[in-house]
Amino acid sequence: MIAALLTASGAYGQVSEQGDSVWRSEQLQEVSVSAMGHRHGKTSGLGNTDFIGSNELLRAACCNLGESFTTNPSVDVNYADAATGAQQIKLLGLSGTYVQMLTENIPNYRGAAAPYSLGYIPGPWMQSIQVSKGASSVKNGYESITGQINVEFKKPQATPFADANIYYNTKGKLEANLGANLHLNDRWSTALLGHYEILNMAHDGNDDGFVDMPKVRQGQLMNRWAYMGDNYKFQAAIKGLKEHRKGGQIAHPSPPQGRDVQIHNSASFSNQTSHPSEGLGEAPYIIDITNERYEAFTKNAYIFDHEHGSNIALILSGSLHHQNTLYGNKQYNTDQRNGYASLMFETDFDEHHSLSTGISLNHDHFDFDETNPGVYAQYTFKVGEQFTLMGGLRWDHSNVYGGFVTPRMHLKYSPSDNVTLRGSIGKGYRTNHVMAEYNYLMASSRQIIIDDDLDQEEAWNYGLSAALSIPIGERKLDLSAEYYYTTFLHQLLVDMDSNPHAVHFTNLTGDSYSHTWQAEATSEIFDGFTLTATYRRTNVKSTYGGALREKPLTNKYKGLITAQWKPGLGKWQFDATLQLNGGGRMPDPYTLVDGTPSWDSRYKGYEQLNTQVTRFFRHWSIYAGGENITGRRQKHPIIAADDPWGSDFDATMVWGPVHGAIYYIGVRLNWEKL
Amino acid sequence: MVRTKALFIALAFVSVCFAKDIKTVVLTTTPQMHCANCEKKIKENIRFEKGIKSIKTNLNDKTVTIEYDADKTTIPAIIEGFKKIKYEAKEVKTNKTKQDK
Repeated sequence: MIAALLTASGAYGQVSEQGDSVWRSEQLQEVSVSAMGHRHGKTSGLGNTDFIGSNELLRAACCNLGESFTTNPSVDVNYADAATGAQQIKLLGLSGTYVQMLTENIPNYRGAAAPYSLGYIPGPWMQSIQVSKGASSVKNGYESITGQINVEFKKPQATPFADANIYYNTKGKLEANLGANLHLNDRWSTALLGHYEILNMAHDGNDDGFVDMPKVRQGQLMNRWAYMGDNYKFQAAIKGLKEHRKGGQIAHPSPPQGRDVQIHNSASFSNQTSHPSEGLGEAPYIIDITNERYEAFTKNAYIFDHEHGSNIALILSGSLHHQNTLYGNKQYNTDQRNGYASLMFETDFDEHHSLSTGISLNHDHFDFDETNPGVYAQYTFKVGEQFTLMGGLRWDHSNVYGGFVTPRMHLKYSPSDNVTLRGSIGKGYRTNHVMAEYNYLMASSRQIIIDDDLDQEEAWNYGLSAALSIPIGERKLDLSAEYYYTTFLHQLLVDMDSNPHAVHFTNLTGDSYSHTWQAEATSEIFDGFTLTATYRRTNVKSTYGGALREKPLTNKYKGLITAQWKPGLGKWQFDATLQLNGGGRMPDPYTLVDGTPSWDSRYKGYEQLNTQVTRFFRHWSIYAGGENITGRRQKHPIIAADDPWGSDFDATMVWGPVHGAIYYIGVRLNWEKL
Repeated sequence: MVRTKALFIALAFVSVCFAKDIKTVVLTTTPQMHCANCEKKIKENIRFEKGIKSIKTNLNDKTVTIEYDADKTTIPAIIEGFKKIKYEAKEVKTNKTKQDK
């Protein structure tokens, strides 16, 4: 069975998956994607998973994880606000906080790193991304509510490679990436990945006095090691990141002196209000954020019965994150530490029955300390490729919230090769760390009110999907349709409606749910030309101030059309993606002195057009393209930009793009041992 | 009428001069292609050889059919291209098909 898995996984990419197939880390993420030309692959595995492989990552600039979802219809990426450059994703219409982020199948980017995680994973470092919708396996814990995103980085045990990448765009952003591995002998290998980006120009396209995107300087380095023995496999990595962002009214040379600064430390923030400083009318409003993050992990697997794939694995990971933020006169500093350990045992009894079980321990030292030991068991029943049923149960105990149970179930039924039906049901939980995860909301004069005794978030997710492959002559048309329903039993409500001059973090009282429908069609229309069209409709409601209302800043629909043309031998590649994002509700506005509302209560839909041309050579390629070519942007994303120290200032009422068109050019060098 | 004829002859002359001499060769490889990964490796590398117009691989009879511009390259040059990616390539003669295991 391992041999079959190895062959299947070897068929899709140049990387030998031997290291990870031993983990059988995710039966949900089995891959069988044809080598060239699958648009974005749906996996043949148990879960409803989109696989974004290296070919897909070449279709756009994909400088970082956030930009890698441009051609993916399921994940929405937006700026969280108009000031920090932090990006957020939405899956199934719900906030990215409900998506569990994993790197190498280990939970990552939690707490203060969460709002910036999309900018912390450089595109050229990634080997692939798996986006799983709905409840995922209990192996990775209880934190996924709407889904899971797993990023696999380039591995040292892969075929020897060396690559480099340089990118430059019309906003003046420069990025450089380097990556290489080395096989020391037939067991040991190592790899080094490096990334540097700098944006040192201040653009103010809408003349509101605020820079459209903050100046950024970021450096990252990752060193990995792997030992691939016959019965024992080992992987380890360390990663370091340093980043500085500066935004706001930075056209002015220096910040004012003697400002009345309010300091909110992770341990002490509670119900403090912020007052605009007096007597500093002319002082520029500056946003200054520094992040420093160090991570390490190790995976050990011992296989003691190859025939049954019986193995025992130990995963250890830890991270340190230091963040200093300054929003005008509000400051938030935090030091976060996390340690995670997971011991798993897996085996196949025979071709039909397999078991995975394990214990885990997670410790977070965030604004409060939380320690979670947990235990899980997962059983899978499989009849060839036709039928798979997986049930998992998990029990965790939190020193803050007590014990809780996470059940998850997945079903896959393929009556024939062309039809696959999937269903999933599962529960998910989340602990909130409000200031760490939402501190970008301080880029406003809103009073920040955080209730004491915030509940652990708890939700059920139900999903159904169907995939159909229709042969048309020599080609095929792939169709899929899905429906997801998420309902919250407990939720952190971010209430910006009840008081437009405050943001109130409180426990949900009432209903909160999300219905998502999505349909997709993809086909190679003629030689080298593939077209994908998707439509998604979301209905997300929550109870605000006692009334069930549409969730604000959530698009009601999304249409995506993406095309790729790679004629002849594929030396030239043309990609174009058009997104049509539906409108939605804004948080309730207030009335200005002249009787007009502070902003429109609804925002209209908007389009996003991206295109790219790539020319491939044997060991290098050159690419050029444009993002947001129609230049569509939210004209005045910053409310009261002329008076940032006043009580109306708000840079968080962002529903659309905050910059105009961006054009870019880049070169990729790639060498791989033959 | 004479002008049209002259134009036609000129066009024919020019097209003969610029006509590409597209030839086809069928090759087998050692090691043989046994999976999609091998096909991919061959397609992705051989396409950068000079004069290659199209590459078709067949896993069933383990052959690679290449269309090439005879003005820009030759069969020995193509075989050299395969050597670069660690494959020995042999031309399949039209009268007999190689029966490799």
